[in-house]
Amino acid sequence: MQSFDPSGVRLGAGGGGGVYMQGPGGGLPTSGFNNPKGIQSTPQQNATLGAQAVRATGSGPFDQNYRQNLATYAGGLSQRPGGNLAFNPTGNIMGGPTGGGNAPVMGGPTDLLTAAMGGQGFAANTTAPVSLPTPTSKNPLSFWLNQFQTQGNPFRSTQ
Amino acid sequence: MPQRASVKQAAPAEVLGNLSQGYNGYTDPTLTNPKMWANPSVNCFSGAFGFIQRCRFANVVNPSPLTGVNFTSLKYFALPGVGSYLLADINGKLYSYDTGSNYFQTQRLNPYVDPAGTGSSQLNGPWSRETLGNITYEMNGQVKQAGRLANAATIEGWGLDAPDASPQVVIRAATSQSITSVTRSNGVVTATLSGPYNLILGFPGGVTNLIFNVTGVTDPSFNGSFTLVSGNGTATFVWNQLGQNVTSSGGTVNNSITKAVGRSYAYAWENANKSHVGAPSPATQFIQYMAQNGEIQCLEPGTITTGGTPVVIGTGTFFTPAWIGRHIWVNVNADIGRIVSVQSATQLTLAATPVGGSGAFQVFDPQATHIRLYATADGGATYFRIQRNVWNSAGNTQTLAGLEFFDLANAEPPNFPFTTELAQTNNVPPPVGQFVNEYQGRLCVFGVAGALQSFFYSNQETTTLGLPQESFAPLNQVTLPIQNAKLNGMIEFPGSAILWSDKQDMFRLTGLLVDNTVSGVATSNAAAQQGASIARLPYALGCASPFAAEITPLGGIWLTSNAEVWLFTDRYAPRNIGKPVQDILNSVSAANLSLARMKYYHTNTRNWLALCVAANSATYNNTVLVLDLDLLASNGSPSYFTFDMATNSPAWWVFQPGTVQGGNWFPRCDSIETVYETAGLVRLLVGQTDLIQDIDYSQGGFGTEIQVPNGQLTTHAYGNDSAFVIKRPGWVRFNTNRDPSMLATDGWSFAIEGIDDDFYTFFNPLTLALTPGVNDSSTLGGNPDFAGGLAFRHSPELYKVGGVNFVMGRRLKFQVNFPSGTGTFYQLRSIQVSFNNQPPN
Repeated sequence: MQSFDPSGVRLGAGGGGGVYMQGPGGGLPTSGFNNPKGIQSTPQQNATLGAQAVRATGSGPFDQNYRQNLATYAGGLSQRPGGNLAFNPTGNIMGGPTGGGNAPVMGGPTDLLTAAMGGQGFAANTTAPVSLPTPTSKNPLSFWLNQFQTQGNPFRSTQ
Repeated sequence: MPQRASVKQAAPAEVLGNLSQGYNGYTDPTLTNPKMWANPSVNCFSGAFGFIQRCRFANVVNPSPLTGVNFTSLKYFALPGVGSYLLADINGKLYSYDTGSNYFQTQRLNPYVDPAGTGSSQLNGPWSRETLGNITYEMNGQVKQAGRLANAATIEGWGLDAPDASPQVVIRAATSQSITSVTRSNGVVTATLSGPYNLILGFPGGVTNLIFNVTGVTDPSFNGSFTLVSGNGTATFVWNQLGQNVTSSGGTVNNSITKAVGRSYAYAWENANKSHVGAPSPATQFIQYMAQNGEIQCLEPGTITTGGTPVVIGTGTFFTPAWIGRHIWVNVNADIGRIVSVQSATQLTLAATPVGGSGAFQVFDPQATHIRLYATADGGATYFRIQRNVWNSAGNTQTLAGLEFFDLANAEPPNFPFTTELAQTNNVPPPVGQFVNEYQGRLCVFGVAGALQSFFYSNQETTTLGLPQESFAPLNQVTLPIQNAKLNGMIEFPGSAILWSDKQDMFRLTGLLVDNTVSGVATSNAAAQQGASIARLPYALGCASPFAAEITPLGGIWLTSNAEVWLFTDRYAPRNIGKPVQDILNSVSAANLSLARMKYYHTNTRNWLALCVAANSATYNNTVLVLDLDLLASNGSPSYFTFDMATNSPAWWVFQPGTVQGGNWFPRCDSIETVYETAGLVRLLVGQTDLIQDIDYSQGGFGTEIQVPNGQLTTHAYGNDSAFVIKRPGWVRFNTNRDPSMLATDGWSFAIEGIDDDFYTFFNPLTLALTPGVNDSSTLGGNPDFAGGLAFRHSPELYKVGGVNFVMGRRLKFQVNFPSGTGTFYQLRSIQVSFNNQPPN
């Protein structure tokens, strides 16, 4: 049986998996984003939810700008498994065409709110700077009880 | 002592006056009358006033530099209190001509396609333009744009594209500091903390408008979320809060957010210069804050690297061709230039070589001035604006550029910092089309590649912030059942719109269009499009071009796909009012029918509909067919406009504006527009090769009048109703508005054609040329004193027929060749013809 150490759970570039959102290409941006503004002498543990792209695939009908806007419109609130979402806004991947004279139909992938309501929102375990009053680095018992009640979300392991 | 002339019985004569029925090449020439004009009758017109006047043309604009090609489209554009302009396009460049400054030329620069104004095929016309809200909206099938301010020279995107990636959120552990004492005085709260406190430790400068929480103060009226006025990093925090002047203690200030389900973010671009907000970006996941806060960074995924070439290499990026025309901002180097092509998800090319470097980046529209950040409630579905940053593309850090927000507030809507402003999900820019028409305050776009049977219309009710006319909810579209045809014309009538296909379809749209949204379909807007209905009209009439359909006081007039001109009043069946010029319309090749342009022109002396066509199989427009609407209104019953073409046809004039090239008249009129000048003058202008010409230079105005060498009238035959009798005129008098003694100097000449239906036919008549100063009655009188005429006896405009001046026939046609000179109105009032041997004396 797999051992599980809650205090060891961390988010990071390329780490984790499962419900944790990945940066594009499987990792998070690497250019200083995770150490914003060169924080010095701040042993602060940050976690980053990377930017996630929604992209229109295919070509035509419509110009590329409009196709991209359609994709953003239709997919902006959808879950992006793997960190980004790419689909043909005038195809039928989303449950129905979104252009060419037909109605865009929201649907298909789970929307972000539904996922969050199911406990699959984004959560990060951060440690406060030691120089300032901080809560304990361990989560309280009530937190873990809550996790137990939600079947381990959002810290469910895929392994 | 002069003696009074002896009285003789007046000769039997007729006065052919009120020759104002215009060109008729349709009716059988044996059924017509002299009030109708035969071919050739060019560059002259008449009207309810009765006389016939030669056209006057004036050259108004020559572009600089000359191009050798033609103006493809013209558009009148005016701003209240600013000016009146003529927008034009030629050779891939856009211009404006200021009517209040002698048509001073200003080049209009499209910052996305051709910021330097060197010319681009993407900007080739014809452009379709509509003006709404003092902004002109333009499309040409390749590019969409919006122009505003003087000369519409500030060109921006038609709408703001939504950011195509969710913002990045850095989540940090919250911190807090205890409050020792807190005092509110006259709306200003000053708190003394137990020690220095930095709300965003590690971000020393440039961050303003920090929002923080106050909790646990003994007097709970101090609790809430506020914007820090001063004190970050110190032990004294100051903020504004309305309330009683009281003092309290206890509690903390903190930047701690805790949410059960989570908070999601999105952001949007804003152009405050025209009060528009784009659609929001994709939203972030719901962030389940646990005594944490968020730094929201509005960035694209990945990083980019530049160095030595215009090529930009991405790492972990998702470059898209949708970015072409926009600029890239990159950390440290700020705006590095305009994107001209995208090769792949990780490679694109800029217009110029940028400074080398690498970093996080953002793609932006140069028109953007601000960024709006939206957030949900804890587990909420609605995105409310919580913050707004100034966008500064020159800022070389995320903070200075305005790309960074700090969410430190634990509040829930409707409390601060949540506002009641919603993300404008439906503020989606329109697709690029070829044509735009306004209907009910909405802009309707059609000619969209891949959706040629649909029109897309702009928002009204779902855009609660921003410009509705720049926002097209994706479901705001109507598709017509027109088989293999395409939507090819639209006119707004009072209370309805008529739409045509390019084949034989005609529809009537009535009622109110409504914004048709995804959520609306299922919920409050369940009866989507309930207010609008479209009915197919049973007329089997299409439209030749969206540019050849025009609303007039008498109804909508358009050129059909069968090269006919029809009038529809929206009350009764349409009527063909173009039959008199059908022979000219028939000479337009089918392939070039789409070149046709139509414009309504109204001054205090004109009420015309002008139609430019490529007659005689030309590959460009060379003829302006002018329909006199005053005469049309007087011809038919007010509502029906029924005509007997043989006796009472619509009155058309045939213009061939142009220039003299190589000694020959070269007619051309590619585009046409009615312009209302700043000073009040109304002018009918046509665009041709390197020239914009006034084709009704009757009221003066700026421009150089040119000679019109081919003003000519040929009447239909006199005597058709008595063709069994051969008519042998004794004399003919051409009565003009000029002193008869000036006719020779002016350059008038006349002719009579005799047709006997045997030897001399319509195609080969007996022609008698009559030239002032050569064979008029005064010149031939033999007395030099008669050259200026002799009262009641001889005149330079009177011609005795007989002897060498011989003509006769069952039918007689009369020709008038107008002078070509400038500065004068040349008018023919009537033709008097007598069958006696002698003129009166």
